Amino acid sequence: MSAHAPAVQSPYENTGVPDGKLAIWLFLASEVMLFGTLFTSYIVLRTAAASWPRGWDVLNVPLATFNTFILIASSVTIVMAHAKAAARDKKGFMLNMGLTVLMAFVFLVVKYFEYSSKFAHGHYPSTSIFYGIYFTTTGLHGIHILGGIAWNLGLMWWANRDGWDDRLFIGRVEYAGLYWHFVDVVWIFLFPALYLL
Amino acid sequence: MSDHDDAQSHVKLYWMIGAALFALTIATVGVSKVHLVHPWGLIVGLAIATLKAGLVAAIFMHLKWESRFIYYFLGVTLAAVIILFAIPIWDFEYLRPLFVEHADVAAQGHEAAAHPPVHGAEAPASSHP
Repeated sequence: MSAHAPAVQSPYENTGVPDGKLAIWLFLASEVMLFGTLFTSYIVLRTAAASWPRGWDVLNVPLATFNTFILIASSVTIVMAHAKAAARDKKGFMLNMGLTVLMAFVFLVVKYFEYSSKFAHGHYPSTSIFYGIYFTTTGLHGIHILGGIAWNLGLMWWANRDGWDDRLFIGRVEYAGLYWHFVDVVWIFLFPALYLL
Repeated sequence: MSDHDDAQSHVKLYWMIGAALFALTIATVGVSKVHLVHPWGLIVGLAIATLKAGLVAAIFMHLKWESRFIYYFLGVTLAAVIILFAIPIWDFEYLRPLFVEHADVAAQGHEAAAHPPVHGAEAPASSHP
């Protein structure tokens, strides 16, 4: 089943799946609840609102579309980083993980320009319910991007020290990937919800 | 199949899924541009997003090859999410006809806050015909 984790992890496996994998899925389940609550609030507030702006009219759709492509590409590179780690190709791992981190920074830089433009036009979280929702959800998502950058940089740092041959290494790369894909999935729903629909 | 072969055979699949996600992103932006009749824009938009999320979860997050234990676990999560969505929305939809004015006032924010004296003046008048 865990074809991607050739490293033996039996002492860390008490439930049939590696403890680390169970832990990360538990964490992601709690994250689903966190973002789910915000989506529920969004639906209720939008349904109640007398009027609601179209994303196309008030937000920068081309920039957000570009950011969507960036996040999808970074999901590909991090899953490639895991494949390279499983194939014991350190150079390939470092390259793909490095690209993942780079694209995460690009995402945040684009987000910075989006936020700056909103602030320059006097749009703040307190401006309206729409901007309240917009800044809360994208802001929380941005914090998750920051967390992913720290996690992935940490794995690269560890790989260059004694981590590469550690038997938990490949598993940890997979768990970092699971987290990063989750952040991607959140954006996959945020993008149409805020910008397109 | 050795682990190495397994990882290499998946690499091709990863690129294909990445390409599919790019195409679906273009599709969702395109669909939102053509202004479909009211519920259909929403339905198509959410369907594409769900398909994209499903591809990421199944392939990139390896759920396609995951153990049954994780499936059960995620089943519980899914049930909790449905409750999380259904109860507040059902509650809101049920209560809304009873408190529709309050809901609108809350949603309008500053605009509504600018006119509280009007509401205040109307309330006693209507309660004493």
